[in-house]
Amino acid sequence: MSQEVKKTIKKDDRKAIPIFFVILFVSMIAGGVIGFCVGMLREGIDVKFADMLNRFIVKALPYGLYGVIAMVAIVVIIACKKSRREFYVWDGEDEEVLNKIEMRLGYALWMVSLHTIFNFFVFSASICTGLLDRVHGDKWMEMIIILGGFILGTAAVTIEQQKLVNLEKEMNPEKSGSVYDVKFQKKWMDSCDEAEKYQIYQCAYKAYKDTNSLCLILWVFCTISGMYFDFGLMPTIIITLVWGTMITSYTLESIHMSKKN
Amino acid sequence: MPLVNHLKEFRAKISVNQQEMGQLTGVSRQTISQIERGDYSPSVALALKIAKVFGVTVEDIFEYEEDEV
Repeated sequence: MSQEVKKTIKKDDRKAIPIFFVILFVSMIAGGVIGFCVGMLREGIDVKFADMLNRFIVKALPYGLYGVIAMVAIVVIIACKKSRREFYVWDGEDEEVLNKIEMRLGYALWMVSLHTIFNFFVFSASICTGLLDRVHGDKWMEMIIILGGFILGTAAVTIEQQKLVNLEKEMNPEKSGSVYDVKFQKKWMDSCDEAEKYQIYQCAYKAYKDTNSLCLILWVFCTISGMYFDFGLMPTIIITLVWGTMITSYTLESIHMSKKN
Repeated sequence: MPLVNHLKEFRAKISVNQQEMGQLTGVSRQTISQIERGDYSPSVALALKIAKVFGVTVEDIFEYEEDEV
């Protein structure tokens, strides 16, 4: 390594270090103050908030689930119908029309993905709050509502994804892969050209950076909230596992690719 | 981006839209759109395919402008 390069590296570090230590110091003070306040709050206030939140979730979730299923289905149906109509009357010249259609379908797919996660969340929340344990008396109805909602939600997102993907394939015949195929992601990726793959890689890197920051924020939240809500070590363990897996997966793949090149 | 392209002009000369251009070069309409907007620089292979469609050289379609120091 030349002396010039070494000097540049040291210069970059010297420039960034003071700001780094200021942020570190401020974070330590802020963490200490928040932790102290939470500790004081815990002494003085009844933990009614957690109970209220729990009860609200238990009561509202099963009905909210059906509302979300209906809402997402309506959005996807409208998006697909409008996009298909606009595509088949497209004159082949105005690129803005196709760009608008692509954007609409992109947002619809995003809603379906969020719906999938919400579906899983509601099912887990039902189990964790003991809703599915109530198999006696008139609580059978609650269990049927929740299980039925989960199954209906899963079927709905699968069909919605199929409709959106198939419409994409109608508009872009070079694309291949069926959502029912276990190798769908690989087949779809293989049918993407160089610019599409580059776009996917850019988006994946942004997702990696954002999730990295989120893991740190969640770690802080769990550490401080653990004093108030007393929910044990499990949330911190899960965040650690997710964070560790993400970093390890990225780094090992990076090392592997360096060896290949 | 220092790469300037005249892809849209060449495409207009032979009266093809972006989707048809994509089919001729084996890429998607979106890729052609991104190249024309300057949002994506094609690989060497793709640039050569594009030039071959028009029967010109790569340098006729793509110009490299040095950034001002």
